[in-house]
Parts: sequence; structure tokens; C-alpha cells
Amino acid sequence: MNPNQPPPPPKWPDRLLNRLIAPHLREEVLGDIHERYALRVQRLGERAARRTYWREVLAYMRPQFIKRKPNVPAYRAYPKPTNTDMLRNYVKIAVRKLARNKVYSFINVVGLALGIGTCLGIYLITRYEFSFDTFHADADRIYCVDAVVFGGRWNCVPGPMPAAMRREMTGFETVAGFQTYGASVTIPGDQNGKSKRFNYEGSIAIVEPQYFDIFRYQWLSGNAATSLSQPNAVVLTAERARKYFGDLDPHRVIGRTLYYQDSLMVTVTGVVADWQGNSDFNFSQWISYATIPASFLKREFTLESWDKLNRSSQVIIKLAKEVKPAQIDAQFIAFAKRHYGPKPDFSAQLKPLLGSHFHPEYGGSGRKASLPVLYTLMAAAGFILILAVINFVNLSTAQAMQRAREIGVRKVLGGNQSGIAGQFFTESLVLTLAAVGLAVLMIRPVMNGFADLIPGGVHFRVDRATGLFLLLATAVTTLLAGFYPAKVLGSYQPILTLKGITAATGSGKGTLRRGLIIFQFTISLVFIIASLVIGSQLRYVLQADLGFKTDAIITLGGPPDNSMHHAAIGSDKTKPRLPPIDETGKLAVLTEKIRQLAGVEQVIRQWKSPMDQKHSGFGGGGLKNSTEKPIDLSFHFGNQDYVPFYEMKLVAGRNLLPGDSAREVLISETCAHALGFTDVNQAIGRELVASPVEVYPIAGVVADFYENSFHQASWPIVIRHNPTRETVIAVKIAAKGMAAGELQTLLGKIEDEWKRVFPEKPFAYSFLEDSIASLYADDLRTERLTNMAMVITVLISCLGLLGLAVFSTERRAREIGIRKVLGATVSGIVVMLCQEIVGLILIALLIASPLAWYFMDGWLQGFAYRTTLSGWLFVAAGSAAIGLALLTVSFQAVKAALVNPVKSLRSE
Amino acid sequence: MRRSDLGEFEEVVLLAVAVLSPRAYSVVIAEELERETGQTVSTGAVHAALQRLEQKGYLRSELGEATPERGGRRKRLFTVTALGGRVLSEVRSVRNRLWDRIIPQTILKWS
Repeated sequence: MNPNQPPPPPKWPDRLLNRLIAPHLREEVLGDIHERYALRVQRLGERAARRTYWREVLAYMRPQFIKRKPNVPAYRAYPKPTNTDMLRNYVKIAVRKLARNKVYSFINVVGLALGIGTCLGIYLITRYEFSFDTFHADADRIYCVDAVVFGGRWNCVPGPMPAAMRREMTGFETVAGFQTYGASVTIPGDQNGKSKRFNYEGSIAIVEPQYFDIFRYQWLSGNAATSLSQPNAVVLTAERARKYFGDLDPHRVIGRTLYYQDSLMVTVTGVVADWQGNSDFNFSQWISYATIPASFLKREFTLESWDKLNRSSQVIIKLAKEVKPAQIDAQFIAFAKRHYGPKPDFSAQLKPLLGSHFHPEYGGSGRKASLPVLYTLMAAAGFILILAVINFVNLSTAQAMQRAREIGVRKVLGGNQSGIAGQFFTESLVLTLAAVGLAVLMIRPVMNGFADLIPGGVHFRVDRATGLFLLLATAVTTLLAGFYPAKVLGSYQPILTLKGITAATGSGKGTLRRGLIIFQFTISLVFIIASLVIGSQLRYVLQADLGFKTDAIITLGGPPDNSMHHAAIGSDKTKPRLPPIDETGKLAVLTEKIRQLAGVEQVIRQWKSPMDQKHSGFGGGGLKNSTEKPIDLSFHFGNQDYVPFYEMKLVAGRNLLPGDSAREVLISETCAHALGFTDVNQAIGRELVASPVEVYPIAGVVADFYENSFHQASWPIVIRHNPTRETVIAVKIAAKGMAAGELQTLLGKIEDEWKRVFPEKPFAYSFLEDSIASLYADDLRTERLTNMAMVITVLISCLGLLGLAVFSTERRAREIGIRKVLGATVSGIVVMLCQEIVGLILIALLIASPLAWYFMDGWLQGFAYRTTLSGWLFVAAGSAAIGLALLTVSFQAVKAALVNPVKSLRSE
Repeated sequence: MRRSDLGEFEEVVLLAVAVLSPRAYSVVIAEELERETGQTVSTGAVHAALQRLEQKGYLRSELGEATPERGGRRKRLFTVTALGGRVLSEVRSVRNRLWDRIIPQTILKWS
């Protein structure tokens, strides 16, 4: 035994302690008693030390040494769990990568922000449009009733129908008839106050009390049961009550009176809170139905005649529970037979309230949405987002080679495939979040910029639904963008990548990248072609020779009134209601007065402009005593000045003769051909049947002109003089040399004359060119939307190309250097770098052309007069795309080609 | 200061750690206390007190180096924390104040 080495302590206490002491304390405890023993041996000798040893051991027999540490899982044994460590590492690496490749991050963030922003905007619009009339109680049981007359569908019913439905049919919980109405409103002043007058108030309805059983309002005063049971009662919304009576308590508005059209006195019997939800039934005042028979309204709304169909007369119903609409439609067949004889020309059909926002003929005066346009918008948004995602996929796979080594190292250090995938998903998440942030920041200014394309009720607010949408968009974008890079790069073999063999796996990705570029440019080209086609069609429409002159012509007139829209059912031969004679006289006076103003070249009275939405037709036209199939005629009313005013051309015969009693007509060339004359001169003097009771000789034939928007074909046209129908004044201004200020003074003078003759009617005017353009408002909107989509898709695609060009020229720097050393010219290298892209775009053009042709042909079918889809459009689109792509790429290509080869080669 | 917070033995151990710092571990503390008090003090008792003091936050510990007489096992070295130091000086000042109030004659009577 070594004298320096103290004798070891007895073995048995060690064994005992090893058993008893908790493992984490064993080392220090055993160390302590051994050291103590050694000290005692030195001091007291081995015997004494051994004697005291057992006391030392016993001192450790305490629960705090014996109790085991609770069994803690390994990952808890460290202060920070390792998986958040890894996540933090992912985020850190992602941020570093993005910060290093600024071009790449910029392209991705801008592209994704464009895509997500577009999606967000269109989501907001879609949500708004689909929210209409969804908030009513039992909205799924509420239906409107359509009349089907001669195969045409109208959203109105004959006057007596609501009452008859209630009497004769079963299956309804509620039936409510109502009439839409427009009138001026006068609020009489109190003792000393001035009375208030509101010129034209739309959004008035005359309703049966049941209306409020279907549409539930919160009643601030009055109640649904009694407020509208009496004649001359009106219910207002709170907003309208404030407008009329100021900030009065709703209860004090009750009993106040107001006048419609200066003569119909009604008493306010109720005030309801405005709806919070969006609705097309946005009436703001409801007159009781009982008012109609008790006032002059009975002349306007015929509640007894089954033969008249007034556009204002509507009925809305609520089905009883568990009644199918088909059961009601079946009852309508018997219903029609009861009222229109055994073979009725009339039938009725239910149309659900839900979705009625997408049928322009429903509801009050609200704006309607077009379902196809919405779907197109959604598809466009989806495509734009996909294009942005493709950029991400392309750029990350293009970078794959640079990152292959990193992935190899990660794998060697124990990263598995899902870990690598997590890394790439984190990168796409960071990018997407940045893009979402950018999109949210930009959405409000952008929406303000396009306010005229977006319905007024659409606003960006951060609420739960929008948040959910953004979350969903983020998730979908992240997964779509991250999926492919994660899968491909995650499956790299570390041995190969660390050896530097990445080229072998590179060729497959190249194919995919080319495929994706082709896809991107296919979409872009479809939009480019669509824009070109829509643009050329609209140019054709707006610049076509209409057959009449539109320059410097102003049409005067107030808002339309209900009597414009009516149709007769069956054999009703009563003449349409004519304006009172004194009104015709007043119009004549006004016309003369305006004629005398300086700067006015000519004034005529007419029923409508040559091209107008108004239409008056007769389906039984033909020559007198002819056995030919009757033709449809369209009527224009004007006197001998009508044709020269619009500078139409007479091709045969003569113009109408002056004088009110002239009973003769002009017809259009098409009309002459339709009547069976190949030589239009032969039509002169023949007699034309223009209504069941009217026959007129044909005085002349005018050259064809377009009377409708180009969506509809023009009918055979008949021009006739009928002073009672000619209620619109058209003014031709001597516009040559007239400054804008002079025009304003002239308009002011015309307004003064108007006020003098029609003090009660509001003055309104429109330029004929503008009202013709307004016929194409929807098309112009479509054009702007398509152009926008085109710009965005092309921008995103080119951004993607730019990114790829930057990377590929970087990667090929050495190759370019070697080529130059071996004698390649700069232009040769630029061509080499660009030719692939030209090839890809040509392939995309091949795919896009038939697609675009198919869609645009469908769109053009909506026009009766259209341009042809010529091949040059496709060529132009293709060369535009190639030009843009080359512009994007060539900059990089030229830069790469000009680099001194020494620089790129010496870096070895 | 509650009495349960620092027992008499604990106080002595804490003081010993302060004295022997930075090389205070149970064996040297036990030896030191034996020398000072003349009574046998087992390392187990000291170690238990050290553990309690560490739990209370008056001490912190780390593993030190190994020596041959420990059979190659590491020792646990203790140091007084700021809190421990404050507690010690508070106890001391309570004592001092009380001592100062004893009339000198009384002390004379004892000795």
C-alpha cells in the first residue's frame, strides 16, 4: 500500500449509500465522506476513523438525500426546449437568406403582395355582393313573383294579383303587394318656418301592411300591425325622418304631415330603424296601400285591371314552412287559366330573394351585381396569386444549387427531411407575411384609386372575417409556395450534394421551371389578348358610323316616371296614358324659347334620341292587306326636323311634311327590306300597318342607323310624328368656337327658361355622346378590369423572369467568359441568353391563343354588332409579350455579355 | 425575521460558508465547525443544512474539482448569495442591538 495514499474506507457503507442516496447526489456525498475519512485517518489514525465512520454514514440517512428527483424528460432537463431553438434558427436563416438576396426577396414580396392584395380586394367585393338580403329572418322562404308574358319575364304582376293570390292560392305564410313610386316630397313648415321641398325621391314604396311581416324592421315608434292599415299613412326610416324633420324624437315625428307631388297629403304613423345589413329593398318610406284607391294614385296604379302590367306593381311572398316553390308554380297554371281564359298568354313564377341581388330587374332602385363578372374576378385573383407563387417556386428551385451544400450539412448534422421542409416553409411564411403586410398597407389607397370600379359599400376593415381570410390566404400561399422547394430540396442526398454533384438533379427542375414559365405567360397572354379584343371592340362600338350625328347635341329632361314602363297583356286596346294636353303646349312654348337663345343652332321635340334604351315596339307590323308574316317595328317619334337634325340620310322618297296633322311615316332601309322590297324606292307610297288601328303611307326611306347599344340588333325602324309622344327636347348647339364658359352660360339660360315653364320639375340635361357612352358603362368597366388584370399578370410574370435572368446569368458567368475567350461576340451571347425565353413565350402563345379565342368569342357573342377576331390581335399580343420579356431579360443578358471574361474566369 | 427562516445551526453553517468562501464545501465546513465548537459535526448534517439554505436562496452552488482522497469525485462548492448576505447581517444587527442594551453590570455578573 502506498504510504501517501490513505487506506480506503470500509466497503459496506459505500454499498449502502450507493443503494440509498438519490443518484444525482451520490457523487458529492460519497466524495465528501471519503475525504472526511481520509482527514480523520490522518488526524486520529485508522482505527478511530473507522469507529466514527458509521456515524458519518448514518448522518446521511435523511429523506432529503434519499428522495429521488422526479423523473424529468430529457428535453425538460434543459432550460429551453430544443424545438423552439430550431424554429428560431429557421426564422433567423430565412431572414438572413432574404436579406442577402435582395432582388429575389423584392420580386417575391412584390409579386405576392400584388397577388394577395388582388385577392383581398376581390374578397371584399365578393363578400359585399353576397351579403345582400341574407340577414332577413327566414330569408330562404321569401320569394318574388315574376310574370311571364309572351315568353318574356318581368318582375311585376298585374294590379289585382296580390289580393287574388291571397284569396285563391294556398301555401303562403304572407303575401305582400307593393308599388314602387317616385315623387317629389314637400314638408310643410310650421307657423313661421319655410316649407322644405325634395325634388325627386326614389326609394318610395306603397305597400300592404303585410310587407312588414316579411321584412322585419325595428320599430322606433308605431308598429307593424296598425301603422299602415289606414289610407294616407306613411312610415319613414329614421334616416329619412331626420332628413325631413330634423333631429326629432321618433315619437314626436308621428302625426306630422308631408305631401307627395304637392297634392297627396299623408301623415307619419311610424318610424323604423334603418337596416344595418345590405339590401336591395332599400326603400326609405312606405305609403299605405289603402292610399291608392283614396287618392289620385288610383289613376297611376291600376289595381283592378288584369290586362295591364305596370313595372311598378310587384308582390313579395313568404312561403309557409315546408312548402316547395314548385308547388306554388303549379298552382299558378290554374290561376292563370282562371283569369286569362283557357289558353293564357300569362303565367307567373317564383324567384327566390336570396341571389336576387344578381338579377338586375329586382328590388328597389339599388345597384345590382353581375355574377359572371364576380366569378371572373375571383378566377383572375386566383390566377394572379398562382403566378406570384410560381415566381417563388421558380426562384427557390433556381437557387437550389447554391443551397444544396447547406442542406447537405444540415442533413449530416441530423436534420431530417421534415426539418428541411420546415426550413423552406418558414422561408415562404416569412415572405408571405411580409407580402400580406404590404398588401394590407396598400389596400386602402389602391381601393380609393379605383373607387369607380368598386361598389360604394365596400370598405376595408380589420374584422374577424377579414382576419380569417388573411390567415387562410397566408396559409394557402405559404403551403403552395413552400411545398415544391421543400419536397425537392428536402430529398437531396447529403453525400452527393457535399461532393458537389448537383448538376445531375438539376436537369429535371429545369423542365418544371420552363413549364411554369410557359404557364405564367399563357395566363398573361390570355389577359393581353382579352384586353386587345375588348379594346378593339369598344373602339369599334364608340367610333362606328352610327348613321346619325351626335356632335354637340344636348337632351333635356327630368327623371323618368313610372308610366314609361308598361306593357299590355292580351287584347287590351286602350291607348297608353297620354301626358295632359297643357304639358304638350308648355313643351312647345319652351322649345320656341330655347330656339331663340343665342348659340342654339336647332331645337326639336322627340320621344327619344336615335340611340337610346327606351323602346316602343309593335309586333304586328306589315303592309296593309299583306299575308306575309308580321314583322317587329320600333317607333321613333319626331316631326320633319328629326331627320335633318340628326343628319340622317334619305335614300328614297322625301322627308315628312311639316304640320301636326301629317299622317305619314319614314322607314329605315332594314324595315323596307323586311317588308319585302329589294328596291327601297318601291316602298314609297305603300301603306304600313303600325298598330292594330293605325295605317300610314310610307313617305320616305332613311339610311339605316343604330338605335340600340351594339349588344342588341336594331329593329326595323319607323319614324312618325306624334306631338303627344314627343316629350323630350333635344338642342343642337352651335358648338364651333364656343368656349367652355360660354357653354355654361348657355346651359344656365336654358335652365332659366325651363324653370319658368316647368317650375316644379327638376332640370337635367345630358350630352348625347355621353348617354351613348353610358350604354356601354358595363363594357368600359370590364375593359378597365381586364387591363388591370393584364398589367398585374404581365408585371408578375416579368418580375419572375427578371429574377431568373439574374440568377442564370450569375450562374453562367464562367460559361460566358469561356465563350468570349473562344471568340463569341457580345450579340451572340445576348441571343444565346434570350432565345430560350422567346421559345417559351411562343409555346405559351400557342396555348393561350385558342383559350383566349374561346373566351373572347363568347364575350363578343354578347354584341349584335362586333369586330372580327383577327389573327393580328394574337400576333400583336405575342410580340408584345416577347418584347416585354426581352426588355426584362436583355438588360441582364447584355450586362453579362459585356463583362470582361478575365474577371469571371480569374475568380478560380 | 421569522425564526423558522434560519435555524441556529443553519446560521452557523451560513456564516462558515461566508468565512471559507470561495472554497466552502461540506467537509471543510464540518471540520471548521468541529474546530470552533469542539463538538463532532457530521458532513451529512452540514450537507443537509447547505441544501436547505440553497433552497431558501441564501446559497448557490456549483460542482468543483475532484481530488484523489474523494475517489475522483467532484465536490459541491457553495457561495453566499446577496440575499443570504443580507439575512446574515440582519440577524447580526438584531443581536448587536440586543447586546448593546444589556447593562454592563449584568455582563460583569456573568463572567
